Amino acid sequence: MTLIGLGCLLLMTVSACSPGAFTQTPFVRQAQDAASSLSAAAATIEYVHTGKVDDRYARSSLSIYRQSLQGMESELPGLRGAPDETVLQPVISQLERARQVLDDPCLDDDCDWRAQLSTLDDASRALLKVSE
Amino acid sequence: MKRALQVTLGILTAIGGFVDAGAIATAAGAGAGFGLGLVWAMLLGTLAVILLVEMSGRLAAVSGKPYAASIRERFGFKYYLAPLITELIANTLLLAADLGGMAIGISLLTGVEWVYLVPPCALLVWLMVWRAPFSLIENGPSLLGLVTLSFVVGIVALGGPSPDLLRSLWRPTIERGEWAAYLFLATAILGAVISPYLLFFYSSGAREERWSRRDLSLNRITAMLGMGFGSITSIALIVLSAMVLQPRDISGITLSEVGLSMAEAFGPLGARLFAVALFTTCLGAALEIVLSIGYNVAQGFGWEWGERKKPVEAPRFNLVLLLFLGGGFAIATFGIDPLQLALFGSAFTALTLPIALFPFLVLMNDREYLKDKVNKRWNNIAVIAVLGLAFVVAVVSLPLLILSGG
Repeated sequence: MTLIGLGCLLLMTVSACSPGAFTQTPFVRQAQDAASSLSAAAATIEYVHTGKVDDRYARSSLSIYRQSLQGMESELPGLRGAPDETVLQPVISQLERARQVLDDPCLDDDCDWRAQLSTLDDASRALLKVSE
Repeated sequence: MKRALQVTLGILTAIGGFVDAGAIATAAGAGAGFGLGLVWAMLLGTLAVILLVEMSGRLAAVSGKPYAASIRERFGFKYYLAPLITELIANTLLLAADLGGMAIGISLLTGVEWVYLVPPCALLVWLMVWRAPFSLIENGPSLLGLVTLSFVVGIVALGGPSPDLLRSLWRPTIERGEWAAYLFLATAILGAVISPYLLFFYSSGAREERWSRRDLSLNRITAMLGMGFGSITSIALIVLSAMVLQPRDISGITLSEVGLSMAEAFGPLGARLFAVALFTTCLGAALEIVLSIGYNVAQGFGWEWGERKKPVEAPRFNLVLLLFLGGGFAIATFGIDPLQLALFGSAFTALTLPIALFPFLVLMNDREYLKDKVNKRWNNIAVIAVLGLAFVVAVVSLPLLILSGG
């Protein structure tokens, strides 16, 4: 236990001596994870329409992405490292629109899946940008 | 002929059984995050596990005693409790991850929400440990797990890694703020590959199969070729994730993301192959984990144990299997993403590696157990090196988990 404590101390010291170089803030981590889920969702919808995955695979995985993004809009602003509200609010709005896409994803040919794709990609890019 | 068949079967089961939820989680995260920059950790872990698996098999074949029973006998009950308790905690998380992995595998094939599929998956595991013969448990899922070799074919189908990606093998790109995540993944990979449950299971399996000195060559070949080739499937997953997920900024944080690599390579067939691979490898790992805990507890407490015995002949062994499976099932039903559980389980395993591995150094040099088959000098040097590695990994794994946010 002492050694683990020592390890903690050592790594905390390294982390403190080089702020930002060793670790990411909780906000950056969550924003990047959310961006990853949105990119994956976009890829999944694209793959359905290009015949790379079937409908069942898409439904199952989209429900997993939906789950991983649950509550993200309210969680992100309160995390350490979050930018101020004026910067974050537009990104949150994009995230909300992307979540609406995940609630009703277009997996057939009778809806505008390309529009959904760009909503998801835009939200993902915005999250990555705000986490830089 | 029968011998050759046995050797082939041993190698095939080791290849098919190498990957589990922990290996998938760490390999996908590594490839998607750092290209090929963590392949070294997989190779290092593979070398270590080859050494340890060979020793655990040799111990069981020569002494007639599996690893857990030997720890209890040689080090006493108090020391035996330390690896047991740490194994219980780490393996409960890993079991929950593997049950979740099985459920997600079926979910990707059927479209049914994965949380609803956890109970039937747990039931299947229970039925198999309760009724199936050891040979079926050992060979069935592992042979089906050979479908993971399709990961290697997937790399070829995608045209292989680019020169830029290959450069990340020795010069990984680690952005500002990513060092903790990089090092955490390295320790988690080592924790996932050097799984002590594998050693408890393997040495107990050697007793189930009634190995003796005549099986030492089979043991050596299985350990070296089986584990060696087995790691290729994990490395292939790193490469696939680096080729497909990394350029799309997908970090491989959920299992379905990982399957997109195979869909890119083979279309719907690839997605299905991934789902089948996920289900079978997680089933194999879940069976091994449940049995390893049953073996560990029963051997330590001196109870009757073994899959050859009917449940009524080894009631306490079977009760432990049931209770432990119940614990893993309870965690899996919370719906926590299996990849996250696997990462935490692998990190916790890394934290406790020295406790589980230290007894090797003593037991493998004890002539009462190994007679003329004690470790040679190079074996001991290698064990000390592995212990040193395990020690470093244990010291840094928890702080890295906290710093990187898991």
